[in-house]
Amino acid sequence: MVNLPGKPSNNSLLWLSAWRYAVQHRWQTLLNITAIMIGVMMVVAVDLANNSAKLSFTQSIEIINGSITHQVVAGSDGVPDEIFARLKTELGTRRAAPGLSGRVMADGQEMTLLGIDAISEINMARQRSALPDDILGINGNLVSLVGTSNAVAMEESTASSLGLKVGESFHLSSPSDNFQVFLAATYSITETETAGAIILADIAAAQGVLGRLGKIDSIDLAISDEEARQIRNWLPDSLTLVSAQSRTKNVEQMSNAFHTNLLAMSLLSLLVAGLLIYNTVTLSVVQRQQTLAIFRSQGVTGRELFILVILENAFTGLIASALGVITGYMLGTYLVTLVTGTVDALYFDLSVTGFMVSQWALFKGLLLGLVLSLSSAAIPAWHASTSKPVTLNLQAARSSDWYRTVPRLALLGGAITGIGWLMVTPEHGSLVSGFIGLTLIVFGFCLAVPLFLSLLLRVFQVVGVGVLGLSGMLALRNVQSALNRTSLAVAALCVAVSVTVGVGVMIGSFRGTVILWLEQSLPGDIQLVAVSGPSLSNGLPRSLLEEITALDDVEALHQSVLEQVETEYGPVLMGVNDISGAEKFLMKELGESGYEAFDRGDGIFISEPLAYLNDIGINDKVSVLTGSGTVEFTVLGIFYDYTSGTGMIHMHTSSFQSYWKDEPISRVTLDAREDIDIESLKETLEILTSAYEGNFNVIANTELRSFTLEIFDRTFAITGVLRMLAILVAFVGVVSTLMALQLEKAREFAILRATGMTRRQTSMLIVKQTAILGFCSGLLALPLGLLMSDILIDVINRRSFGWTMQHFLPESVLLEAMLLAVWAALLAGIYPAWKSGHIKPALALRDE
Amino acid sequence: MRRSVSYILALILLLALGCAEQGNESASSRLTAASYLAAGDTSGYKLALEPRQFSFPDDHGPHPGFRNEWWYLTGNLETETGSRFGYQVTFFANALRPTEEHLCNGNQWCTDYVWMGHAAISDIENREHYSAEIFSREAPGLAGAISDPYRIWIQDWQLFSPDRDLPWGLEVTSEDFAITLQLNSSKAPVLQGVDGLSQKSEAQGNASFYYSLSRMETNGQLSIGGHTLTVTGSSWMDREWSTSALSSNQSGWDWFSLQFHDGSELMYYQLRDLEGRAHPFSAGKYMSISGINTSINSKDIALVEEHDWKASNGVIYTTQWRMGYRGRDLLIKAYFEEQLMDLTFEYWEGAVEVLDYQSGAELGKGYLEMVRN
Repeated sequence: MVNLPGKPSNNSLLWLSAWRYAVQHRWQTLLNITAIMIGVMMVVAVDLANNSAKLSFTQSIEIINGSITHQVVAGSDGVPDEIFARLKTELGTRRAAPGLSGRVMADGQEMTLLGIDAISEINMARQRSALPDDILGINGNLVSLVGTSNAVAMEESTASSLGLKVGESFHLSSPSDNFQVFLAATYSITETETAGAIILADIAAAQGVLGRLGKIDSIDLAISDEEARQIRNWLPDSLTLVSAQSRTKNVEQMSNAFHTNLLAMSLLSLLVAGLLIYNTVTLSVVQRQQTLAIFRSQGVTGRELFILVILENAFTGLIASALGVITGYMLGTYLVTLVTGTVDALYFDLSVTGFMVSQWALFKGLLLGLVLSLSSAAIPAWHASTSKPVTLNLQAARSSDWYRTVPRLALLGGAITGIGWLMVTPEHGSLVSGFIGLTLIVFGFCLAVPLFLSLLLRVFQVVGVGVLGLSGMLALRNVQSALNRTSLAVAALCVAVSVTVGVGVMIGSFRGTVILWLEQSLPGDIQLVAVSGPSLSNGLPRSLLEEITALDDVEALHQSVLEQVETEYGPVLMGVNDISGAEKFLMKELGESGYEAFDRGDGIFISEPLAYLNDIGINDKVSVLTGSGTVEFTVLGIFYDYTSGTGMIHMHTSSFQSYWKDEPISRVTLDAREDIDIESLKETLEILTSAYEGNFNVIANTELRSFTLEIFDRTFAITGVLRMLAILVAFVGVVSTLMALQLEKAREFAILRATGMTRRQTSMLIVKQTAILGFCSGLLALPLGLLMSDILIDVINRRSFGWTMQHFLPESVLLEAMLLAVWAALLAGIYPAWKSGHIKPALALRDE
Repeated sequence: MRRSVSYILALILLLALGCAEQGNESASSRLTAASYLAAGDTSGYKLALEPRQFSFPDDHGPHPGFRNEWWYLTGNLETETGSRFGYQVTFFANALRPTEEHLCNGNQWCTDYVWMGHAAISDIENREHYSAEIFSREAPGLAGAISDPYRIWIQDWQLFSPDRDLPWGLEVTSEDFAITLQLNSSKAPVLQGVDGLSQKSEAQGNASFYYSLSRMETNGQLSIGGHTLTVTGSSWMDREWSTSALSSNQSGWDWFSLQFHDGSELMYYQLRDLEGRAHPFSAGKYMSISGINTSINSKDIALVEEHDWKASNGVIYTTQWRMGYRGRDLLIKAYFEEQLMDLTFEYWEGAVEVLDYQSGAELGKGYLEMVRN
């Protein structure tokens, strides 16, 4: 830079002024930093949590699929041991390994017991590599696991969480039994391979503990297509060979959709943060217009001013982003458990809870925050640099430009919204286009906010005459006169608040739908299930059923089945009941005389996600592996279902009995007579069943409903957290923007004070103004939020998961949004109000 | 998840079976047969302490209570058109623990044995060597040995008879090749060592029970890459069971089984110490045409390494030997060098020709096994 006379000799003066400004407006700076920080934090946290969950998921899928090409599976019954032995000895299938796992309790902790045949695994992998680096150490004798019925191994940390040492005995309980086992070895492996709450055992021990002697879950195979053909022909009818790919495709697709949803939500809050930054930076430029104009008139170039504003923001952006990365990392460790919890609950037994930190994710967060703060600052910085010294000093110049722009902006907004709308309307569009559409709609709405706001303010002015009083009207006009700045603030707040509305309504609708569905599809009052003992394999004893039917309090008794079956679309849950289809289901689509056909056993009903994700329609066929081989069932109807992410089918008992001839019925549903105390009936049933061998579960449907809701709430815990964070961003945004707006007007208030307004009056004026702005943002956020929720419900969730939800409008969410906006606005008004009250008019007006 | 944990466990297990060090040293990546045969904890197992009464055909069957037992078949075969092949099929049984140390409660997967099978074909004309291995636990019916009817099997590999005795059928299939042979023996089993007790080092119990079927008439089919060839020839079977065979200062061996055209046979194993020198407990047996079996100890025989071959991993195997025994001066020469068993346990096992060292005249055929650590 060449030194010119009368120009500051170096940049230090510029920087000093920038620094002074930041310090003087420390609240604003702090809030600005906070907004970016939270935005970055959300993105980083969600990114990390998603990646960890995804990685464990891909690992699990890869591990299951990796070398595996096919699986031999049976219904819930399991694959007989001798099938595995014969497959190996008669067919000579080399790469085959048995699989068996189940839930067990150890010292009150629920864990997965994994039964394996390590020797088969050697043939499976057949890699003669060294010990993988993932193994950090082994303590004890792992070999002693093989072939024994009472030895187990687990990860070092799992063992210490149970307070176990190698060689010690402990109890494992499964639904069927209680078993004493000993810990033969512990191992520690790197975090990426972490097995969490897994107890490893030989298949012999697993069968014993899980009470499944003679049966395994599946046979994993790594075979050629030719071998697959051979095995398929060889297998008995009760078993089926499925390709590993088809089994995991649905699950993978759904889990990906879930992650996309989370990421989109976090990006949305970053967008809000961006709007806020744009807003504050614009203000900071406007506030310093005099200073900047003086610099300009002293010979500072526009380029230098541009760089000044940009660098200022690079500085705060960097600090904020760094803080965001750090807090995001911390939040991520918490979110990952929520994410895996959801994936667990919905689709896949994800035992990996390892937290994967990729430097890339952290760097991406930092970069995103920085780019965001710079790009948001670019336009105000450009304004600062291009304006002539004189115009910079003319406050009203841009305001008048602005009024001409408002309708054009609204028109553009309308066009963008239209494009967005076109993207979200198709029935089977992609998820990504759904999100882009949503973003366009939100953006379009933002552009129309100035128009909406000015209309709203005019309505208030008309309505408010006589009601608001002089200071109220003054406040209204004041807001309107600074529409170029206020509308931007309102747009930002409106988006922030609308996110909370959209997501809130979506969750509320979902929950409402689930409750509605639970009431309709959980028929009866009490369920009785045999969980162990002879009834499990032979069905509930006839005498017990007779005793129950004879009870005065029991109106009717329905036998039912709930188990996993294999279909061409992978394993799905199958429900069987002898209740008429018309009574039980909440139907989405129903074929002609579907209920009658269902009751006759002429076909099945399938769940909506199964139908949507696989594009199955009424009268299509679905093959199901039954007790007497693979049977094609006609789809008679599609019912709403929210229990199983991957799908469910239902058939009538009549149909079930003809295909599963010897299948015992180990579950009944009871209808109680009206006005009967369910609890006491439950107790009666418990007493009745105690006379029989084995264990029975007596569950009231009310309990089942609350349990399902509990799972639902766990599933949406992450969404809830993100919503809370969005609220926080919104809150910080409202406070920061409005406070800045008011602080800027210090001189205006000084004039008012000088012309005779009392401290109290100016303070009230400020509070009223912020309240108006808050109220307007809240009001505008409602339609945008509701629109957003509609898109989330009808487009995003449907495209992601295949769920159709009923729309419920939880009033609390709307109220919450208004309160959020107004409270934040009021809070934002307090400091400027206090400050203006203490302002010395003479000092503030000295420049005039 | 399951697969990864399973795989890791499998690797660890494999290492543990070989008693190898569980560390990050590269040596642990390859199991060593010597460490596998070394002592470890032998409590609870039977030991080969003194000569026993052998009884056939019962002793062709299993001997539970010992830690290891194997059925080891090698042979030289020829097609009608004169194409020559070598083959090897081995069934190894390894006890995980002394039997009946734990309760099974009717659990079908409960087992004390893990089996390993090795098979190979040497296509001498084309200098191609095919090998395969197989692992299996014993239960539920995946592998095992029974005497009546005779059957030794690992999955679909089997050595079997419709009754208790010879002749036997042998069936092995792998991705690259298949072996289907009928085996019979006109010669009585030869008890190795002292009446079948083969002492491997000074320590009592460091011994095995060992007998051989030194000349088995063999015919059947070999399939390589889908081509099936009818072959005839002669096989050799070694049967050995022990709990602790080698001592800690032994690191490998060279084993020769030679079938001379004159109808005699010679078996000699040279144990090697940690420096690779011949161990004094090296021994063998000479089976004369008249049926007289003479023990051979290390002083009776002169073995000179004539030509070395270096495997791609750097391990050196001697593929030409000069052997002097009772005035015979023999050149034992691998038909070709690349007959490496490149499997979980690596060793060299291949068909050899036996020549007169001076004239180069062919005197017989045989098999050579070299184990290095």
